Amino acid sequence: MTWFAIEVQAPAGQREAVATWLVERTGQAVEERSDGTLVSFASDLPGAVALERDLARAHGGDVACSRLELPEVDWTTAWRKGLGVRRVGRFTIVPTWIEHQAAPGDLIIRVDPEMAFGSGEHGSTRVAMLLLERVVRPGDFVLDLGAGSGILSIAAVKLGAVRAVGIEVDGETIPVAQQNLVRNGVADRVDLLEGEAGQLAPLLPRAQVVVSNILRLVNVALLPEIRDALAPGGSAIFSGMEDKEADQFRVPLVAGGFDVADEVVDDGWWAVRAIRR
Amino acid sequence: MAKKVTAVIKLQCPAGAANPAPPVGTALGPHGVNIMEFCKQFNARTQSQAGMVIPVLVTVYQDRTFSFITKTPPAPNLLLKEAGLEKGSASPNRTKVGRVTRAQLKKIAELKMADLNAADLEGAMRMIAGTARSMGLEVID
Repeated sequence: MTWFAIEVQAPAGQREAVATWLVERTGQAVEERSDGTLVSFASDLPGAVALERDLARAHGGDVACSRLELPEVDWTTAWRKGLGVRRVGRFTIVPTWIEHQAAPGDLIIRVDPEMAFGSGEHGSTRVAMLLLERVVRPGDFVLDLGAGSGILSIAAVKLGAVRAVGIEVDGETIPVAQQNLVRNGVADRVDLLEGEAGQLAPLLPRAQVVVSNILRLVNVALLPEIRDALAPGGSAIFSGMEDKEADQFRVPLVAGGFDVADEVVDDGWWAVRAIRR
Repeated sequence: MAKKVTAVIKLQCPAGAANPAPPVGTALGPHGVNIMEFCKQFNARTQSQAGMVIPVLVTVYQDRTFSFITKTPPAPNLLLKEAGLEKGSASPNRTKVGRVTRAQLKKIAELKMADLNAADLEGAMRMIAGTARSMGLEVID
């Protein structure tokens, strides 16, 4: 099906009324570009001409429009372009629509980009995964702060952790993460909690590994709680920081009673593993 | 998580009825947004407002995950519903097609207060009244 985009310029005071008129006339959504242009659509040329005619009748000479024929694209699948199987250390991240045969020793994580951060397409997720791989041992309890899609909790369990708890302040992401746990067969070993990491972490058993993929300032603020959440000999992994922020984080990290043990950079994103001094 | 925003897209969407056709597909698809997932989430969140137009701001992050916020329906949409009309006047200056009371303006102003750039409820009511007149609706006491 060939679609026609109708780009509509309306005075700022009338834009809302014109947008509403377009939605009600077409039954379809309208895009509002940052310059104020409204973009409506018709599924064929006669429909486009009729829409322009009715728009002129309803809103008069103040409204100008231009028409553009769009190439035929099936956006239900075309949005996937550029996404494929991605290797991160021992992990293979596989979108759910791709068939993939696991190689021996391969740790598969099935996740799509959805309404929770952590699809594996971002460097901050990948550096955290690489450090998890180096430190998680079978039987560990892992705490995942800023869990998002749950990808790091899933990774921890795939590495042998007996249990992981993901804490996330954004409640809308919890159902997405829960679905990811089920997709990856780890729902019985990962619990998701909605709330502030600083308030919930002290209520949980001490963890062999705490991973915090948030922002630098949040990581700094959480240093005391993360230190207290670690079991003796445990490791904390801090991610969510660009490599140019590394020095700014190392100072409060060391002052907060940690020693740096390991660091990784990927695509400009830096993560550090630290142990409690 | 360390979210980096790559795009913010604004759509006016019929409540509970987003679908992958344009403009949802054409606006979100090039940014790699999971179109079906957006439609599912948007429709679930807005299904109780069927018949309304919902402004929605979609934020796309670097790893192609997304979030969105919905705003209150546009004032013209709410005014037509209050006035019991299908559409506004074709020539608002000459032809009045309906009426809204100040009580109805107040109801709409209260609903939209969070999204309006108004100092107080009186200011918000004046804005809504202006929109009403521009659509050919008479404001009565």
